[in-house]
Amino acid sequence: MNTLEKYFPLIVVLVLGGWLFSKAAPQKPSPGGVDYASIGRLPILEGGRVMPFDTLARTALQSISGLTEVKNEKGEVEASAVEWLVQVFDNPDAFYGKAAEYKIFRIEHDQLLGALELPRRPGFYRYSFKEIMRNAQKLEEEFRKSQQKREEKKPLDLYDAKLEELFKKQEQFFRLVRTSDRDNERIIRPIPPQEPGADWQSFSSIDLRAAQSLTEKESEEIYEKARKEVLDKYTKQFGDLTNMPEPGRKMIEREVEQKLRYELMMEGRYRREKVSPAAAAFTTIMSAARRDKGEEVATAVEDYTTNYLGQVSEEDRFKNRIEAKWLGQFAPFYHCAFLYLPQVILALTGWLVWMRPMNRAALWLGVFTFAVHTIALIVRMYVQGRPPVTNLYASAVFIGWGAVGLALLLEAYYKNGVGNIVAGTVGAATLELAHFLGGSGDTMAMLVAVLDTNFWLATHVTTVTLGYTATLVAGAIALIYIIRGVFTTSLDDATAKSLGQMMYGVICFATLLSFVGTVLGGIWADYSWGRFWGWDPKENGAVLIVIWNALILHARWGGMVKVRGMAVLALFGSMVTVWSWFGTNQLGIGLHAYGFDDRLAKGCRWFWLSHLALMGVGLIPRQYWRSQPGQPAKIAAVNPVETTEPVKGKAKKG
Amino acid sequence: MDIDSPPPSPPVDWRKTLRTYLKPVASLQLTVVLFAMSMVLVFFGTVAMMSAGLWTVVDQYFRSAIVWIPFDLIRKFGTVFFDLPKDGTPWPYAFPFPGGWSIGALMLINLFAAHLVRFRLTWKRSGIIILHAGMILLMVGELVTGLYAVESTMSLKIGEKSDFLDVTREFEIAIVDPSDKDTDTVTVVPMRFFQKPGIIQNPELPFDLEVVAYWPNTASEEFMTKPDGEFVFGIPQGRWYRFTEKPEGVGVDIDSRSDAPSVVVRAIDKETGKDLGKHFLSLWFYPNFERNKRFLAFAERTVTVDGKTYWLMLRHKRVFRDYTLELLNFEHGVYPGTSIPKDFASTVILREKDGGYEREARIWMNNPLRHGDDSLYQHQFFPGDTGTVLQVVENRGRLIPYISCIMVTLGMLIHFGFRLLGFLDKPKGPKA
Repeated sequence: MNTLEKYFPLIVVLVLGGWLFSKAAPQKPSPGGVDYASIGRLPILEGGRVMPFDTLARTALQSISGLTEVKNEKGEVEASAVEWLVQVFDNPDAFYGKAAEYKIFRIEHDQLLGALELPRRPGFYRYSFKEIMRNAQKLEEEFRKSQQKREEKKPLDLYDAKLEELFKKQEQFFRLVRTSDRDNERIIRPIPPQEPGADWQSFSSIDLRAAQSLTEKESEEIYEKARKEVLDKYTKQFGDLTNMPEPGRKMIEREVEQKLRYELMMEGRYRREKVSPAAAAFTTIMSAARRDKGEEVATAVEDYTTNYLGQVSEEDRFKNRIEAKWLGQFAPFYHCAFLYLPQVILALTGWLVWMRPMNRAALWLGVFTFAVHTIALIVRMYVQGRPPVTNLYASAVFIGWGAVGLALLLEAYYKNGVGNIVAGTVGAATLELAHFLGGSGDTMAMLVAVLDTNFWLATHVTTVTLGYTATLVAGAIALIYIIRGVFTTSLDDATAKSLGQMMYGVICFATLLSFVGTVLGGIWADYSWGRFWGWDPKENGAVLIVIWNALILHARWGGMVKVRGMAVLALFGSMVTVWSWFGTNQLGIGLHAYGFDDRLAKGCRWFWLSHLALMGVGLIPRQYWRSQPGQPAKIAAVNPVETTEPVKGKAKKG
Repeated sequence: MDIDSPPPSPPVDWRKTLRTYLKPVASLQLTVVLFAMSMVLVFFGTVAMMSAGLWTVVDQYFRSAIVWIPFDLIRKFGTVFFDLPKDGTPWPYAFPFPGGWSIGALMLINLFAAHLVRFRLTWKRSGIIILHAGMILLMVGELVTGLYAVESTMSLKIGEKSDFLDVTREFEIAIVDPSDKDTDTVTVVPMRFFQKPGIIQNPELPFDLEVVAYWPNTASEEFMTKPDGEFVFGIPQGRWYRFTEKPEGVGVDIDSRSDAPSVVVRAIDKETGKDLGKHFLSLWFYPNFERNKRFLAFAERTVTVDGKTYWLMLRHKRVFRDYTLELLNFEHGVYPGTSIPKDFASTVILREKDGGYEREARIWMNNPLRHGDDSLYQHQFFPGDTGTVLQVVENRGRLIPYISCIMVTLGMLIHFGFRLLGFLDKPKGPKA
């Protein structure tokens, strides 16, 4: 082994690891500029948990635009998520100012673009609030038409779905501006309690309290103004209102009340410091940042954190800092996806040239990325205070982790590149999937009562997810077996045998885990509603995986299949897993919500079709495969046992 | 290890004969075919839940000898995953398929036969034997549950006591004679008598009942003023409800709620054959119904015969317990700033009727109260947190899954453990 060969893996890890950690470098503000990271660390109460401002910014922006930064048409970053949210959050000027200019609303449907008279932006697809609002009336009209269709139970089409999606995104934007949704149900509470035992405060409650300091005359004026505005609006629409029937009058009264509430809040907004110095201090931070006054922000943040966070526990504050920095800004899972890809490329290259160094580099890189993945997973568990899998997003992260771990073990034992390729592909694919799933909201959202049990989450959910993992890994190995065998001449007897052993071992593992996981789920069900087995779609999905794995094992023991047959069956195992993981959920959604997001259903479809096709390829009779049994290895040293270099630390027998 | 090859045959003739006959029944080919068939059944059962209630599917597919699977299920699957139009015409025809009982029975036969034919008590095979014994136990457990487990609920307002349960998926018509001031006399008609049109006669009944119509599920619409319609009823709060027939709820429904059957009956005087009036009885009127929960107080339906007035109601089948439960308190927490439920908890006092036993207990999520064969779970609550609904399950086979799970897991660990050891012992790859 020459020096380059020896140090090649180290160089690869250093270069790519360096890139990864450059992502963790503190974002130094330009001299005099605003330190957005310090704002990102501020705690707020949202969705029932204390989270850093950074997390609200990222999840909100991602669900509106699909990205975690604001970009322009050229792909340049215009603002970080925090920078964007500072412009939007609790800012009535957001509808007109800088915040309205950011192109964040993703619209790709041509008909919808046409209706809103917006230019097409292929590849970018994003539009600013201002652009959409140019045709606000049209949007509302179209939406009302679609709602009517829904009420009359007429079939809705893709246009309706996209329209509703845009409307919801717009609502979300409004919620951030108002810090509360239209119905005052989902309220963001940014102001921590100021004395022991008190609650977190929302701006709306603070502002309404502040408005009580208005004189009677002032409030009277505001009421009259609100009333007049509403009445004027309706008079313009319906003419004389004196003969309005009862329900109509009630509706108008309700609207006057809403309007009044809003006007009072606007008045109270300027008197915040009278009832809550903390709210005033928070507002100062935001407004200084909006005016781009770096030094003012620094002083204001300092003032806020020293004076008003006294009732936020040290632990919460520590967790917030960790979450903002290491799960938010660093985005470890997202970046790991990019490191798993070169692992695949290195291993594939290794099958063609320079086998040993390439493969070792791939393994080292895999181990390095896996370490980062593992630490990130632990940090996530610590911050959330939960076992690893609590929702679909977390299941993707965890399945990826398990699959990579398992594949790296196989690679460490067999050293033939297969484990590297499986680790890299499954790792990258699942983390990419997680990134997509993360777009639907807070990934560490609070759990409803029945799930609020760390014991069952840790046992049942973890085991059943590891069962999915192993089944998918077996499928991935099968894929390599079939592709190499049919399309290349590289599947010699030794490789075929080792792939067969790997698949078999992993399937045994999968059977065990999926069985134990499924039964533990039954026991949990027995504990929470007295029914061991309820035959619901998700349970049925899990049991299919168990039966399928058992089927493969019995078919093999009965001599009905050999390695090739097992590979074809293992591919179907992946299909069953995807059915259980995502497919069963789609049945209910697809049935009831017309405008449902069908991207997951589409994903299932392509996964199944491609796997069916590959199963077909695997069924091509063996004599037509490019790799023939009994042939010696064409690729240099695919199997390490045949290399001249003895495998370090493992004495060969036989 | 090849478990298909028979061990050296002993020189006893009858065993040889038995083996010849059992061999096809014991074959692994049959096992694999049965596995595949059970997967087809479970898959179509799941898809069937898109248009039928979960328990209907369970009865038709999983707890049956044979099931006719409609081809239309394939189309329904296609509407979700393959862009087929949601409102397309249903595909005709269905194909027969063995139901859960049949496949389960065949699996058991196959398993027993396999062990008879290939039985060898060695350490290496001990895992397989334990594992399969556990599987048999698991299947028997599901059989026991399917046949004997009863699910019911108990509804209690805060401060209320109760000693009866509402059986979830069974209904009865109750005819109540409230004339005695201490005790009501109640006569009940089980659901199998009124699910199809016909006349119900019984000496216990004060009058005959003619079933005019039976609806498996009922839709209700709320109105501020009295709407048009045949079945419209008001409540004291000044609202009106119109009831219409609707198909039963479906199994994949995320927000699956229980069905509300209704029955239209005509009371007929036993002696004169006189029409005593047509009555619409709906589960919606029953105060303990899951979607009513004491919220809608409809007037009693009454029938007067020979100067005596009877109440008529459709309710869940009622079973009585030898204990009473009193609800002391109900708590319902949400995460601040959201409507995500954080916890539900009922504090109750359980008293045995013979006075021998009394205890206070707190029932909350994942923490049921066990008493005898009954387990009581926190299930739902009344509007405004004024009361609780407990799910009560009586299941004698409750412990079977626990035991079988341990056996199967242990069996697999032993079996795969032996294989792993064997594998690690062998040299890697082909011999050099």
